[in-house]
Amino acid sequence: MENTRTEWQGFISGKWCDTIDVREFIQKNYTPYIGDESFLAPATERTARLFGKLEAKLKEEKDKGGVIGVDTNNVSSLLSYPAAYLDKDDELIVGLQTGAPLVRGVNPFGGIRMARSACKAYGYELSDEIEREFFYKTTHNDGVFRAYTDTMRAMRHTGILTGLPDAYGRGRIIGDYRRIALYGIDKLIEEKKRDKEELGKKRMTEENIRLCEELYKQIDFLGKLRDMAALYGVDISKPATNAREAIQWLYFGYLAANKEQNGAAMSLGRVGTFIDIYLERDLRLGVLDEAGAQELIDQFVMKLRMIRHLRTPEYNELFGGDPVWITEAVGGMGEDGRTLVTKSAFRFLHTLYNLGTAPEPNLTVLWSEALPEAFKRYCARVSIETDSIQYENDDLMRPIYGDDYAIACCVSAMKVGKQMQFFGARCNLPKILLMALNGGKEEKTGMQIGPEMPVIKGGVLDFDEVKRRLDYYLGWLAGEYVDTMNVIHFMHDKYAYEKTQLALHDTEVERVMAFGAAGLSVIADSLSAIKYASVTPEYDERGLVTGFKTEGEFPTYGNDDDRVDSIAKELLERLITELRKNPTYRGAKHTLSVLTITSNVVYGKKTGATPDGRAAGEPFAPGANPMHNREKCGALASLNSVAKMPYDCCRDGISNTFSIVPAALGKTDEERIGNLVNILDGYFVQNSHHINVNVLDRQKLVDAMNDPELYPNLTIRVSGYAVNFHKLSREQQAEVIKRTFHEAV
Amino acid sequence: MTGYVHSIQSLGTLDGPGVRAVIFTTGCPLRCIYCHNPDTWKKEAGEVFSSSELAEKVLKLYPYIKNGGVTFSGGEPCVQAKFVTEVAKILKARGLHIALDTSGAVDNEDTDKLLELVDLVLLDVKFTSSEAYKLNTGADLAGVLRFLEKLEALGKDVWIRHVVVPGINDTEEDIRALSKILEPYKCIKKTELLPFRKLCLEKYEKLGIPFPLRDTPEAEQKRISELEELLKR
Repeated sequence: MENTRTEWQGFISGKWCDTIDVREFIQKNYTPYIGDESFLAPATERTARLFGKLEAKLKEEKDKGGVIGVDTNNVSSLLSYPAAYLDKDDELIVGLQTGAPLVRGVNPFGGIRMARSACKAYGYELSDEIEREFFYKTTHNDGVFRAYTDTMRAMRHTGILTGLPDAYGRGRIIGDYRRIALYGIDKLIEEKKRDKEELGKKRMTEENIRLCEELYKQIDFLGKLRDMAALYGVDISKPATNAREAIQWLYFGYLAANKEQNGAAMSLGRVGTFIDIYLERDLRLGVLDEAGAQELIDQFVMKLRMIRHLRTPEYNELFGGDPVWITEAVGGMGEDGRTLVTKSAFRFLHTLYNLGTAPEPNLTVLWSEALPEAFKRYCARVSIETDSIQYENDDLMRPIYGDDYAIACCVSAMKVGKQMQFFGARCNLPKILLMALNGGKEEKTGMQIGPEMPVIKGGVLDFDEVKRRLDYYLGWLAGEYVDTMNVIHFMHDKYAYEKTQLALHDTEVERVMAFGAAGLSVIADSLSAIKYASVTPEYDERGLVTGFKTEGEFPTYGNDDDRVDSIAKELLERLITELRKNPTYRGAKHTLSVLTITSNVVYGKKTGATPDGRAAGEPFAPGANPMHNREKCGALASLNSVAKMPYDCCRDGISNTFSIVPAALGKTDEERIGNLVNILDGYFVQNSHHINVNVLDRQKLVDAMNDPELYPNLTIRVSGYAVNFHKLSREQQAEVIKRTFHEAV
Repeated sequence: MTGYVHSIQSLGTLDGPGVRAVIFTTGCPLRCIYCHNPDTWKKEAGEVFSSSELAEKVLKLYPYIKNGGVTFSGGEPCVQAKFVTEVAKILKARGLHIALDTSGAVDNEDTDKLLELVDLVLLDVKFTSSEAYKLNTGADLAGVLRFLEKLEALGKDVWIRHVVVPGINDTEEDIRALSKILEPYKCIKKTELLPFRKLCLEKYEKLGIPFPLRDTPEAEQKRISELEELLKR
């Protein structure tokens, strides 16, 4: 079709003009950039003024114990609040989540109890109106607990499964917010109406009825989204006409999603290259200069940094530091070999200087060996100077997801607007090992949760026997885990369907069900101890194994030693194989992640002593990390062990958090940058998936823990995301400090 | 052939250019008072590796170190020059840059053969007078200087790395004397002063060896920077 719309003047037309195809629009219109960062502009005066206002609000929030206020009178949704501003005169991008900056809305759709206790935790009471209204409403949480079996409850209670999205929004769904800017709401509604009409021509099976109702909700909320923008005096029914509008349109979409949903992980997607096309057009037309382009990105990022959700203290234990996971994928390569790095990739990273370091948005560089050298070096510099960004392997993901995927939450790749996931938190692998030894009894409560079998007999443990038992219980776990997830997501679709976000997906969406595993290094080292050293179980008065005498040396994960690395790898292969044996809700494809967020602390707390010498209650290592300080061969050997974990089995991501002291990375800044680039290239070329990079001294964290005022903005990467160090609990801080910091030799 | 290895540090960034694997071999004829690796003095204390095993282990790091290289350190790697040569040959064939971190005190035909494969020598002159050298290392300064002459003749790139110990070799005169010794050599591309540290104390205690500098303070970075200024002139 011809490019007839005035809003699209200057763009190269294509299929995208006719059907919704943002990727094609990008491919036809973007400008790759292979230069360095020297073009970047500092913050404008207006940005600085506005940022000053935001900083004052952030300080107020911190002084109030982390929550500036809670609106307990309204249920958060697209039209619940009037237009509100941080400073109307200075804001180029507008829109707040509630009626005032940083004030948190109440979202009881996931569960009214959760909303109530979250209010209480910060000294607020849910209003009577909301209580009354939800007294007659079934929430997602109600639905789930109606269907949960006793076994599911027991697994949840004892921490075999933890962090399940059964009382809060499942999140991890990435709306294609770019569609709003490119097409305007009217066109999106028109397309959805057509899809609904087509669907009506088919037989009304249960599946189609459900989809029909969902389409109704999507169309309804697209309308609400348009009305929400209108509250700010902005008409988003037609395509955006310039860069400021493009950013504003897509931000409204993102904002609406956050008003509607309090999902754990509300990724932004991959908007940088898209926005760059509009910025380039404005720059070409002479209506914008570089300072103005940077200003729009800075202002957009400031808005993102203001997104807040109301959480309970228990939630914060698992997902420490008040994260939203506004994950934005930066960089990467196109399928045609051109880089997707644009000047805006630099501009997004540059916000960490113009606006200071911060955990949000969760800037995630899609690393490829073929990335422009200058961009690689700039990323390395940003890592060294801010500890705020993470890296994922574009060369590994692009062949699977194409070149328009983004990252849900920390490490999960999703084709934007075409795939969604059913988030499934994680299971505790070391606990399953202990249950296998104890014949299905949970080691802390003594409850018989799994199938019954005699407790393993005394004397030195035989590896083959332990492995046989473990495999059996992994099979049992897989069945229960899939069933639990099926219940959760059936109910989530039923009672807390993501109307705005799914309206920004294709109607026929691909679904994956994302399972997770915690404690990989603990179980791998434990099995290694049983295999290569001599492990004798110790029994308590209940006759259960609750301790181990481990004698002799054994190889540990994190030293590039195949004897143990292969144990870890085979475990993951086994787990996904077992999971795949069980059918999923809506035919979702099984995936697996090795990622813990900060829940490695809670998982450890809920798990008895393990054969690797870890004491009962001690934290696990995060994600796929080797256990703290068991890495004896230096940083690269540690990276190599993690790189062996198979992405094919773990399509939901394999997280590695890497901390190194500056001195160990080289003597001068230039050396450090070059060396970090080589390390990243070397790591990713081996098909590894993810890495968080921190370049800092442990002492700095110790100082920050003891005196929070010393480094109020200290940002560090913890596990697929970044946090303000001071927002972690003391327990979480202590665990981060205990982690391995690779030192200079 | 086989050799003795103390350990492999998979990430070194200070022992030569770029990202490097550092191999610490065992065995050293010197007994420097500030030695930070007393666990590498005795050759037989190391783990036995065949040259191909060791090379294979290092090559697992190839993707990271391909633009950096490998550094042989110790101990004194030239004590096992034949073994190190065999390993270096394999690594060199993969295009890796080879650095040798040596005191220059083991200088024989085997060392000559090893030098043929070496791209960069990291040399520590340690002390600037024969008396001090003898007293603090047990060996002869003259031998080290002969080695440096040889490197000059061969046209090998050399980085001088000099440990500065408070109260022993940290005066301006010490550094000027060092500067004077090094002045004629065009092969020297860089001179680094390294501060004396006591991280090794634990190792000495574990081995039951008294550490001669137990009561000497660590060198301060500020002092090192001041002294480095002298070298620039």
